Amino acid sequence: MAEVARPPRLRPPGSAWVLLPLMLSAAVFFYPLALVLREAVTDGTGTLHLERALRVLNSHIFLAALTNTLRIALASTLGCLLLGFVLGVVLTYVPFPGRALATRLIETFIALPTFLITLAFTFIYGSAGIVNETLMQATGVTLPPLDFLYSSWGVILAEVTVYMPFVLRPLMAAFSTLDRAQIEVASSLGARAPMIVRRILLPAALPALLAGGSLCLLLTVNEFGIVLFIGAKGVITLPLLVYSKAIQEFDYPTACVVASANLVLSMGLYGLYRFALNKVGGLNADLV
Amino acid sequence: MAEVIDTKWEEGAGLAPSSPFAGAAEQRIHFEDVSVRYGATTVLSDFTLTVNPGEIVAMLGPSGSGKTTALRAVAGFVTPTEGRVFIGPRDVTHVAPNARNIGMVVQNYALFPHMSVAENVAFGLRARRADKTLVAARVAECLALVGMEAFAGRMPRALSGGQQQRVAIARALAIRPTVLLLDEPLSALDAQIRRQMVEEIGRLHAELPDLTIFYVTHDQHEALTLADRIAIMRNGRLAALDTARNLYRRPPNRFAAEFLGRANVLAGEVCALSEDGRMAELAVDGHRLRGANLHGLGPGDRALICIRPHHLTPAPAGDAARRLDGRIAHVDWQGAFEVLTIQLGTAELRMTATPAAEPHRIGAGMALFYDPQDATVLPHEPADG
Repeated sequence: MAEVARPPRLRPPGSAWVLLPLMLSAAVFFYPLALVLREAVTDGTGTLHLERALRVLNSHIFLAALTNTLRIALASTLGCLLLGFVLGVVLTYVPFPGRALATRLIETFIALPTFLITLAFTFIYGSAGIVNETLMQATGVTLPPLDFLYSSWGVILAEVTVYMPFVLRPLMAAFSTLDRAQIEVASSLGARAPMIVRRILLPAALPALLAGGSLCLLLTVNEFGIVLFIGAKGVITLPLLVYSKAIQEFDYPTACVVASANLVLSMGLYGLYRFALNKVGGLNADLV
Repeated sequence: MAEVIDTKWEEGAGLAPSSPFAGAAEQRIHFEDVSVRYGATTVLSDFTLTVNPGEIVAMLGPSGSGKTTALRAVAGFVTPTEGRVFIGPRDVTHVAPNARNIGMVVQNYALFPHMSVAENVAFGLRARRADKTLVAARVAECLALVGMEAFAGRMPRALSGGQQQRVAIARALAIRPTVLLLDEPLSALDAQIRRQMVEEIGRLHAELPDLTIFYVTHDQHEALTLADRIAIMRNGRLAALDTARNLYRRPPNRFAAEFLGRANVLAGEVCALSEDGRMAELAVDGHRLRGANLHGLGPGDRALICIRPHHLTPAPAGDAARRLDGRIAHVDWQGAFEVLTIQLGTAELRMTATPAAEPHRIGAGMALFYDPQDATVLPHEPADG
C-alpha cells in the first residue's frame, strides 16, 4: 500500500528555548545595566563624553574607595580561606561530640542577613559591648580597650564571619570525597599531621578553595550592607560610594561611573574565577 | 605472655641503606588478648596471634569477622579496648601510626593522585627527611622490585589497577618497614590480574624472605597460595590457625572445614573405633562413614565427618563394603571440571569430577568412594553455631 506523505510539522529548533530566558534577562537585567553604562559615558544629550568619567576615575575619593574595596575584599577572602580551611579540616577529620551540630550552625550564617551579624558584633565588640564592658571592669580603664569594630578590621571580621561558609561548604564536600585511606597510608608511612595537611589535604582542597575563595572575593568586592551598617570612619568602598553619590548627593552621573567601574571589576574577577576554575578543575578534576 | 623488652625507638628507622629490613626479632607481630569494642558491639574478642619474622600469615574470614580490625590494630588506626599489640619486642598499643614503621597496602591502592609514581614511592622517605641521594636510590630500587621503573614519571591516573597496586607495594617497601600489612590488596582487581598479582607477591616474598607479611583477604585462593599460615576469623574470634596445608587437610572445626574449601560436613554418631582409636566410624543416615579421629571421640559421641569434594570418586567395581550409593541431584559444569551434588539419603554430598563424555543425568544412581584417611571426624556442632 502506498504511504501517504505527511507534510513535515514545523518545529522550532532546540536552541529557540534559550530565547525566553535571554529576553527576560535582557528586560530585567541587561537593559537597566546598559542604561547605567550609557549614563556613565555620555552627556545629557546622549553624546559620547568620556571626560567626566575619566575625571571621576582619577579622583582621590574614587581611588581611595577602589583601594579600600580591594584591600578589604582581599583580606576578607584570605581570612575566609584560612578560617574555612582550618574549620573544614577540624569538622571533617577531628571527631568530637556535637560536630554535626557545629557544622549546621556555621552553615546557617549563610541564611542570615549580613547586617544582623554586624548588629550582633556591636553588642559583642562595640564600645559598650560585652567584651569592652568586661575588659573595662576587669582592668579599671575608663575607655573601651577594644576599638577595631568601627574600622576596616571590623568590616573584615564581619565579612569573614558572613562569607566563610562559602569556602567551608565546598571544602567539606571536597574532603568528603577524599579517600581516607590516603591519610591513613600517609600516616603509616611516617607523615605527621602538618605534612598530611600540606601534602595530602591541601592539594585535594585546592579546587574547592579556589571556587569558594573566588566566590568570597566577588561577594566581598560588592558588599554593601556590612560596610554601611558598621559605618567605619574613612572606610568608603565602591558600593558605598555609589550609594553616597546616588542617594545622598543625587549625583547620578558620577554614581553611574563608579557603578560601571565596580561592574568591570566584578566581571574581571568573575572571568578570572572561571579561568582558574577551568584550569584547576579541568586538569585536576580527580583531586576532589 | 610475650616477653616485653623496652627498646628506644630509633628516629629515622628504615633509612639504613645497608640493612634491607629491620632485624629478625623486630619483625614479629604479636597480639596479646586483644579485644576491640564499639559500645556494646565487640568486633575483636580475646585475639591472640603471633606472626613470626619472615612469615606470611593470611587472615581469612567472612565480612565483619574482625580481620581488618586486627590489621588496623597493628597499623595503629584502631586502639584495642583490652590487650596489647607488639611489633617486635615493642608494645605499640598506644604508639601513633606514624611512629610504627609499618608498610601498609590497601584495597583501593590509595595512591596520592597529585603525585607522580616516583613521588608516591618517595613519600615515606621524605616524611623521614631522608637524604635526597638515598631517596632517589631507594625509589629506583623499589620500583625495579615491582617492575615499574619505566613508569616513575607517570601520574597514578595513567596506570592500570594492577600497576597502581605495584606502586602501592613499592611505596610501602621503600621505607623498609618492620612489617608489611596488606589489607585486601587485590580485591579491586579483575580475576586474571589478581592471579598474576598473587604470583608477583609470592615472588616478591621470595626475593625478600625476611619480610613479615600480615595479609587480610576474603579470597581463599590468595590465602592458600601465599600464606605460610592461615588464621580463620569468625565473629571477632580466631576460629582456626594452622599452616595452609594442615588447615585444608585436617580442619579443626566445622567452620574452618566449610569456610576453607567448602568441605562436605555430615552429622552422625560415632559407632565404632579402630583398635588404636585413630579412626572412627560414624553412622550417618543409614550409611557408615569412616574418618581420622584426631579429636579422640568415643563411641556414642555425636560427631561430624568432613570429606573434601575432590576426595570423593566414583566407587571402584566390587568394593561394596565401602561404597556409598546415592543419586545425582545437580550438576554444575565449570569447564575443566564439574561439581556433582549427590543425594545420600537426606544428606547431600558435593564431589568434583572431570567432565564425563556423556552428560550426567539428574536422578541417575551413582556409587561413591573415598579413602577414610582423607576424611576427618570432628566434634559435633550445629550448622549455624
